[in-house]
Amino acid sequence: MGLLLLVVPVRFQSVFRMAALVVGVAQLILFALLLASFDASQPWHGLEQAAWFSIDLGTWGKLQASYLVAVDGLSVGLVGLSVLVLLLAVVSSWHVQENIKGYWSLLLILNGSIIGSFCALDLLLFYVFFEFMLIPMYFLIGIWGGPRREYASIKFFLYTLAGSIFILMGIILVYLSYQDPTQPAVAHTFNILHITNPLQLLIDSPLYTADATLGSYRGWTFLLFFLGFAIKLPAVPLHTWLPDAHVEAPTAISVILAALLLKIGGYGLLRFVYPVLPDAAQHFSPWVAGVGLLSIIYGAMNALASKDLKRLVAYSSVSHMGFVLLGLASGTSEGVGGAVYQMISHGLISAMLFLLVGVLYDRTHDRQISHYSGLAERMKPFTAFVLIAFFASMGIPGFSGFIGEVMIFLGAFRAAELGIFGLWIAITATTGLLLGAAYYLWTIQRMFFGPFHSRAGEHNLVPLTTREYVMLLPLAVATILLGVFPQLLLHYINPFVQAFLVSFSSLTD
Amino acid sequence: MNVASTDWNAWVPIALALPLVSFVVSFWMGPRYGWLVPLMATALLLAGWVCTTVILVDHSAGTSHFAVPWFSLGTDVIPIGWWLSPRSVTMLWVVYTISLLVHVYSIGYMAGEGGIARYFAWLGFFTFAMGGLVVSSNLLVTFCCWELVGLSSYRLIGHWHQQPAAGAAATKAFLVNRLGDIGLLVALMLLWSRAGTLDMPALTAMALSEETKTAVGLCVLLALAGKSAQFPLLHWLPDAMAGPTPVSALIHAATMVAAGVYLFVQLHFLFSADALAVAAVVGLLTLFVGGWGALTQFDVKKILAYSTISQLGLMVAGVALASPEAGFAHLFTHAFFKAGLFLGAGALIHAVSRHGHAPQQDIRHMGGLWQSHRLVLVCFAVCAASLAGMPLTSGFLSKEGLLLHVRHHSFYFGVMATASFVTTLYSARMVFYLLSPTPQAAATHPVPAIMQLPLFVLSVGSLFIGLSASPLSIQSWWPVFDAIESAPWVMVVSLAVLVVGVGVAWRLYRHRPTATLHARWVPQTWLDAAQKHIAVTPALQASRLTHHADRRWLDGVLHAASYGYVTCSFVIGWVDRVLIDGWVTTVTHAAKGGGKLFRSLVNGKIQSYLAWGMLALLSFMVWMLYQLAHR
Repeated sequence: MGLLLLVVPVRFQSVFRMAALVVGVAQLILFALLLASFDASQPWHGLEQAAWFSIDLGTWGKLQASYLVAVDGLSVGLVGLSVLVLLLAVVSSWHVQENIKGYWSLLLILNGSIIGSFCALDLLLFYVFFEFMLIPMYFLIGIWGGPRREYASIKFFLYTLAGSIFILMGIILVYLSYQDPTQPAVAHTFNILHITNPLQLLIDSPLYTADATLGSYRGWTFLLFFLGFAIKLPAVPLHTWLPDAHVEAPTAISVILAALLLKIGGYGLLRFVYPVLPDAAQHFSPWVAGVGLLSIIYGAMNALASKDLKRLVAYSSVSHMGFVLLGLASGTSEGVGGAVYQMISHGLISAMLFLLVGVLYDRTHDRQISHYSGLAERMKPFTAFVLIAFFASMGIPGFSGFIGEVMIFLGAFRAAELGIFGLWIAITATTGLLLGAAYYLWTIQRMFFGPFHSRAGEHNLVPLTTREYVMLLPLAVATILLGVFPQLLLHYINPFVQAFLVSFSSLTD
Repeated sequence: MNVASTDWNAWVPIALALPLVSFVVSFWMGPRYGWLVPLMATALLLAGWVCTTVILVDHSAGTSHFAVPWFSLGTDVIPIGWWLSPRSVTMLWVVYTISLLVHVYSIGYMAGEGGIARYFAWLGFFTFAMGGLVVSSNLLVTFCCWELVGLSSYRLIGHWHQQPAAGAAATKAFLVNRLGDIGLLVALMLLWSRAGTLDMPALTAMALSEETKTAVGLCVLLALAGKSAQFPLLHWLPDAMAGPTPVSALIHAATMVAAGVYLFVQLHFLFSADALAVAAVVGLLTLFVGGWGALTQFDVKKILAYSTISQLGLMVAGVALASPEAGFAHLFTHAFFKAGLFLGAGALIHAVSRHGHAPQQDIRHMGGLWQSHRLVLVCFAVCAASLAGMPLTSGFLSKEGLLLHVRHHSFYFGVMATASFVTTLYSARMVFYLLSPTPQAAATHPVPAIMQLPLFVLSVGSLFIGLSASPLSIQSWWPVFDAIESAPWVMVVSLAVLVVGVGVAWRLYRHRPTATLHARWVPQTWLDAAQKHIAVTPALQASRLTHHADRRWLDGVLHAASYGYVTCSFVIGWVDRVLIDGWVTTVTHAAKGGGKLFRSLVNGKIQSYLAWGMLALLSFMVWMLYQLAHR
């Protein structure tokens, strides 16, 4: 597994993109090997540990962090998604012109830190990877972006940095409350395997309290983490960095942002926030579900109002990530499994959507919905891909989006039945499906139906190139495959969800 | 949960797979071998139809259930499989029969049209999805197919997507259907959270509370209102006529819109008495709104669309008030005569329309075809007679079944008899216009035999032998329909209604009045307005509001905060520079000045020594003088 992390910025003198492609393909092969040896019944796979640093703090014990990486049923899917999407991002940015060396180096740094954060099992290591994504992202948007790139990149940076500070505070509180059983000399630990084990909770530490309500340490820690990850997710009302960042970012970066970076928000909550603080999570679940509901409806509404195709797709991401929160809040096996499924499915679908927007933008440098009409007549394969992506995103059966959403609804209604949150939240959330269909169908009607018209002229609308087929087809196939045979992915997710819920229920008792 | 039923029947997957193969192959062959697609698709569907016929013969009695796990959620398993009952195999057979006939008809109708591969591909996909909907044993799979038939309907309504009206109609149809789909989804989720299963055989054996049944029933009612165009979600169906006419016959008359009624029949056991009462009211309202709508139209396809709405209302009311079997019997006969009417109308439109012009669909301009298109008109009239419930037709028998069931409730019986009168009225009106010798249609084309054949088959199917061996009794060949004891007076009443209906129509429409009613009398006008005011405008306003909120309030707070921050830093910068730095600078300047001053004491210049000496002397003298003055 550690091999996946060998991705370091290679400052080759020539042919940077070939290097990036080779790295991407190598990652894909390594991932395939990993998958071949993956045993879903085992909790951790490819565990790799090495001491990182250790500082003696005298009477305070030792501050010790380690390089600890592994994958389980949760992260294996996300790592697979990352490998695929990062490879396609390389393909899609094949023709980047300016400052080639910088671009490809930053892309590779980003690559390493994304996969690193999905594998890290040490809180500090996770945090470092998490922070490290920020810097390449900032430059990639700020240098290779659209006209308002400086505004967008600073907004993105500051928002995410603010989130990271909350997360860091949470990490420190957690760190102070857990001990490493194998090394009594070291007072505290960052090891996620230990902090998710309630037996390692130190007596009289900040988190050693039965009170998980607002105002207690447990409640505060949960809120800090939630706030930090909600910015990343993003959840309304902390989402306004997202549309700007997406609209200004170059295509490949939008793809990575939507498909992978947003997932780290959900991943963080699933990986340690919920397992460490299940009581607080349960206490706040109506609020989490409410934030999810707000994101679903508010994001969809904003998508409906968008005039720019890319902005529309960006807001649809907000709406779809709201489903993840709703599933998470339900705390049922269907809902949590659905949240994981939705994250991966949204990764595939949003990558496809942003690539498609990029395909159109490359040709005409125009993303205004109202500047097009009747594209179905002129660009048939493109229209076919757009229809697949739109219908997949709308949650039509046969595509992966449907499975994720339906599982989340199954969980949400069961949670409502169990009294975890109100039935009205679950029922209102279903209107998100109607709104989703509304903005997509309206877009199809305006852009693809009717007599042909394009403000940028028609000579630009050349057919899809082989390179574009290469990046769109795998995503379309994966979406349909996961929509028809969900067990392919649930095979990995289910054991994780079972383990997750066991720790959840045993801790709440 | 019992998912291990193993009544394997290879015919079912083959029957379902064939249209799906047609979907894939049509798209694949489309670009190069477009001419081959219609023949290939029809051949595949013929093979599928043979499979369904075998299934029908095998399963005329008893049920069989087969399921395999589809995916697992924690410890629960969602199975996928089929549940064959006499009802579902009959429905499956109807779907494939009509689909096959529509395929054959389309070979002629769509000849020379663009996008023919796409057309046949989606016809095949629709047949697959509809077949899946009919036989599925698990409600989640049913829901999937339910959405997929909506998707294929969307694609087929919008087949001629260059026409803005077709695109708009497709969007509208899909969105209204989606609203219904949400109803079905909520119903499923409620069942999942309360019953713990979505498997139909398991659900039939389960006792649910009345409250659950009411909630689930009302949600299913919303779903079937969307799919089967029940009041108030019926306004998408007349617009859906923008699609090709064979599509209207298959999807928007015979099968897909009947899927709602079929689901109602299948899930009848999940409805509480209250939910059934609401369904009855909805059905009866739809019955009248549809009947009235048909009377207001001159566009033959729109007349048929409203008539479909009205008949679907009759079926829903029939299932709710009479019995599921009686409603299903009407669904069965309706599939044949309504598909026949649409295909007949399509043939007539084909006959009078000129290439390169908008199709001529106005019944006021479609007269004078008797000499040239006798067979088409006879078939059309037979199907219309079946719609009106004339004796010797299948429609007569199935309507009789409905009336017999409600004969003890004088109110419902009266309502249904009145509705039959309206049906007779608009059927007769349509036929009078079309059969009239004048006005001669501008140009006529011959109707190819390949279009006449399916029409002929359907009109024969609309006769009594489509349903029963006897023209007067519903004692039938099909075990689906339960035996009902007959009451001769019911038949007398329905015959009387028929005679009166035809008589009134003759009186009103003999001279073919051409005046168009004002739009406000057309039901669609109000429903469109309601949709606009209740759903579309508020949604768009809300979306503008959220857009504004995002831009002004959320980003505004952010910007205000960052401006505030920058302002603060400027103030602090000034304080730093002027006050704090200023103080430090003053001190350093003072020190520097002092140092300079005192350095000049020892700088080795004779002039400065002299100056200092003079200064010292001067100060000494001043001091001395001061001392002396105060002495």
